[in-house]
Amino acid sequence: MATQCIACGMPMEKDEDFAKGDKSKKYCRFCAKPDGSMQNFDEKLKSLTAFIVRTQGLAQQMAQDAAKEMMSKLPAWSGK
Amino acid sequence: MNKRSQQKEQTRERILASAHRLFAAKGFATVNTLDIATQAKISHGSLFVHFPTRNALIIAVISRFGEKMAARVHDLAEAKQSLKTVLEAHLEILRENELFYVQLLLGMSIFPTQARLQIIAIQSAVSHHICLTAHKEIKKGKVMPLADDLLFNTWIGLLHYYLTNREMFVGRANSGLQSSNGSVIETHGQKLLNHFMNLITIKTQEA
Repeated sequence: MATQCIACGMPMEKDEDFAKGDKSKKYCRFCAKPDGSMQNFDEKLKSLTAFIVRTQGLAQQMAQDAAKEMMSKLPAWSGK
Repeated sequence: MNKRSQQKEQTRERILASAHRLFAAKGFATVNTLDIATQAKISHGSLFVHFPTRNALIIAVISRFGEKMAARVHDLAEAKQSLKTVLEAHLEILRENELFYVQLLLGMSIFPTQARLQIIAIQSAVSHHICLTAHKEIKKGKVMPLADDLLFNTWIGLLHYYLTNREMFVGRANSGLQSSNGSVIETHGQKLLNHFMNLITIKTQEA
């Protein structure tokens, strides 16, 4: 059974799904910064918002609201 | 989990499953909480112990559907190599959930904001896989270098037009959507997929 990324919810199975290919990490390659550390809340909100704008073409505010809603369900951001 | 919280969890799941079935069959606008409680075989009052408002229940039903759909999209799309097979997997998932998905689209304007945001989240799981695969084929020169949002929205817009106007495309089926001739995806999915691929594929010059 796949592990779920704590920061974006993506299921992670293969080595390359994990940050830096490291299966001990709890977050995925999309949630890692170039140095392998996990993006913080503001960075993740910014990148997820940009992803929604880029792939669905939504207005910035709507995309940001959706990104916040998605993140609110994930363990890394509970209580934020 | 002790027996009491286990029972509570089971009742909650029964309410969600009953609501899902009713919303799929009759639409979000017409089904009320009493219908759902009756279907779940609990008292009307018990339903509100689990979901304080009708909107809270709607949000929970859509969230549950979103989680299942995201997991299914990931499972099916991960194993696929080409854009066409990822889109085929998307069609397969829509076919499995066609009734509920159509009602989701039709109910959009009456949903609370949180439910609408969850629908965007569902589409994010789909767009992630479609765009990821499309990028590989664009790089290989197989697919036109379209902007991600236009590529995704052209595909989803085409499907949603057929789905939300399903009576125009498959007729008013008394037998419901479960029969193949009542399903838009079964009837038109392959044709729409071929058309979309034809639009975005770079044709190689014949010698």
